[in-house]
Amino acid sequence: MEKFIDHCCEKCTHTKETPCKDFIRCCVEGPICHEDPACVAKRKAIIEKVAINDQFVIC
Amino acid sequence: MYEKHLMICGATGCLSSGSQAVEEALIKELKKHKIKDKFRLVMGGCPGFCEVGPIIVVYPDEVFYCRLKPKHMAEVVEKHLLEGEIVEHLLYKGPDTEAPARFFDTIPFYAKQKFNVLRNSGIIDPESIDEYIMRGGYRAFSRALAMEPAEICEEVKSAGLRGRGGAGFSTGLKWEFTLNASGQKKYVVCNADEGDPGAFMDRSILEGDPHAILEGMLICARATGANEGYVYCRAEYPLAIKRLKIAIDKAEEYGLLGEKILGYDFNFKINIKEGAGAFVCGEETALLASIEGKRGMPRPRPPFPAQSGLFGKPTTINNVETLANIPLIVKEGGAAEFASVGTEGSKGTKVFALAGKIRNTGLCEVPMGITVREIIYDVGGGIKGGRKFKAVQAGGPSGGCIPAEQLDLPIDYDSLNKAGAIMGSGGLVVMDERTCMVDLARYFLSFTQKESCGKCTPCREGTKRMLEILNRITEGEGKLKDLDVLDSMAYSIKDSSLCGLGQTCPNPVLSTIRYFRNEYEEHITDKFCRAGVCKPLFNYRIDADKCTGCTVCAKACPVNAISGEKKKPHEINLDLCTNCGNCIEKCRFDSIIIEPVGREADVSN
Amino acid sequence: MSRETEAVMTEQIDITAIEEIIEPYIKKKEMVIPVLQKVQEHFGYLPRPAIEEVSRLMRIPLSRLYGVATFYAQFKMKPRGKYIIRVCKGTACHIQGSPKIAERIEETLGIQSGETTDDLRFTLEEVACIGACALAPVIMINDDPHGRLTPDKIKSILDSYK
Repeated sequence: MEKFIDHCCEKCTHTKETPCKDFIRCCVEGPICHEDPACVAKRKAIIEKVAINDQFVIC
Repeated sequence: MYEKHLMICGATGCLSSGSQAVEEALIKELKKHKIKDKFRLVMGGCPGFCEVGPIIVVYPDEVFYCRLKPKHMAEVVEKHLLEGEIVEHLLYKGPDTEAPARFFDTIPFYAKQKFNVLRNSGIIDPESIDEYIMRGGYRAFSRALAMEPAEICEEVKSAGLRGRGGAGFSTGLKWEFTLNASGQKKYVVCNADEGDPGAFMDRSILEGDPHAILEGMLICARATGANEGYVYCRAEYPLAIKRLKIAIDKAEEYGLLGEKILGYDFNFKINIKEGAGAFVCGEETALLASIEGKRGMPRPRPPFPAQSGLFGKPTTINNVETLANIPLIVKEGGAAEFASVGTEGSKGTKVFALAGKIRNTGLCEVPMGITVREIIYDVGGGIKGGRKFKAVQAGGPSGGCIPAEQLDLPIDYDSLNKAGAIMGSGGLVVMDERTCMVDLARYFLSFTQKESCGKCTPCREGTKRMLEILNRITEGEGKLKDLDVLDSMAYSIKDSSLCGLGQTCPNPVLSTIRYFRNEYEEHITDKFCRAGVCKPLFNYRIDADKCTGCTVCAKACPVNAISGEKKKPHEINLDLCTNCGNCIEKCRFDSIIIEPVGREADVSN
Repeated sequence: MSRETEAVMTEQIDITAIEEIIEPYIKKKEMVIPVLQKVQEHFGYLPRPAIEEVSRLMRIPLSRLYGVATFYAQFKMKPRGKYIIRVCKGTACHIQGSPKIAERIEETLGIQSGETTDDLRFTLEEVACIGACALAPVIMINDDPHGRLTPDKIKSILDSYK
């Protein structure tokens, strides 16, 4: 998983045709619809890859 | 994880100073040492300090390298990236400080700035939607989707945001007008037709943070009930257009533009329209005509675009910088935070483009209410070449000048209006004693005269007649009563023109007469231009006491009018001299004097 | 540009490409400006036969097309040179000496603003503001900006465009 639009696992259904209301929150916080540390880690990895310091994320 | 991130300014200013070649050299060096994968290179937005470009900022160290050349890259890679040692001689060093400075904390240019609109510029990759989202992007839009449209308008109103395009009308109120207008089809238009000469903040925002504009438009659409948007952008900004197109594609892919956005009953699409080179299209009704494929001519208001705009439908038109503020206001708690900065009548920050005879040219974002002095001396570093500050022109061809006596004027909408200038789009052009205020007024009027669309008589004919008078004055043919004629014509044009262009274009003339009447009178009665700009109205002379006989001026003279022996004072042959000004530019001893025509006859008698 | 050259240029215009260029917009009358932009991109300017063809295809009166084309500074009705020199006339450039830069270019090339050299190498134009005020005075030659200019730099810059 390299981009936020990629799905963390098969539970994620967000596409432009079948959108999820929580998509933006999910990108930065990890999945809202289910709990899975592995999925959270996947999201986090995308951010860590390009975050330049602790303050990079401002939400 | 990358070891370090290198942000190379890829905005027009730095590209012009050669940042592309710097990037190529950097990549070559990284490849040479086989460490390219450890470091992330982003050719991104503008950190604002164009004067010292090309710029690279190295994160997380926050080291700010400037005035870079391709040959410096070997050092940056070998010393800094490989050994962790900062390359001292590439750091910024101010004229008054001993030690070189690192990033924001120590560079005076950044000390008084507050980044709202430019929050992402130079920090994220403008072509990456993910990075925009990581920085909190599209959060405000997600929140807006769950709100009632009227609630969103109310929040924007409570923040006190006023339009950043010029007139300073309340943005929330404007939205409410469109929301309350009836009709199924409504539009949002982003005015990116930044035409004021000397202003380039919108370009920088579009190039550095395009998603902020899309998010602003989405929130506006949600608040006003619109379902289609246009960005009307100058064709002279190809990079901005390219980045916007990429941003729109990405937002569509992510389901942030299109139908049933994020599962809500909300559809929105955005089109880009390239302008075709007409200043008047910055005026909202002319802009709409241009989008419709017509000649870009304004029409009388009312009806206002909020009732009848694009293709006759209710339309909200906001400027780029206004829209870039929106996500900050609509985020949780954002409105109060926004309103906590600025003055009573002008909230938030404003981006200014500093240009002209100022040391630190570039973009700066400062809280409203900062004084002219702080911007020019603290942020701008004072006047180039240590000359004397004369005035600053605010608001471009629609604005006016602020003279040295008013350096402590706070910069906000109302104070500027009172001083005879306007906020306009935020261009600040600084002038020193070598700028002629009559020529400046003539310059602005010749610009607006050329750009007048010709629809209404006061603007079409009036500007032409005023320009003729100003031309006459700068040629030494002026009469004192011309000043009264200029004054009365200016007010007639302001009162009777159809659109903002005509209503504001006499401002530079009025304000220069108000503050520099003596210069006009000097042009008219003494036939003298003390700034040395209006060619028929001055002569150059070499001050024999100051001239060292270095011969630089003689070499620079294209018509061989300067003669003299080496190490002895030189002389100018006025019969040959064309007043081109090469000598005065080159002289390092201030020995070239500007004096009235005919003075040399007095001396010889 | 002499009358004869222009006549020759006009005859050589191949308008068959136009239909393809404007195909996506053919029924959209509000797309007149993008259409003209595309046509100009193809020919370098707007030749009369090309505008006539657009008029026929889009069913828009020729007078209206000319009305739009002549309103906007971007549209050129005459052939232009291989290199377009655009002198920035913005405020920052003006007070930093762009009039002297323009003057020197005019002297060097022997043309005035708005004109093209006889060998179709250069066209000289003015532009309101390029937005590179920090580098004033600035000119653009095609897509290359040249900043912090002085009149004596002009000759070598122009010589580098063959």
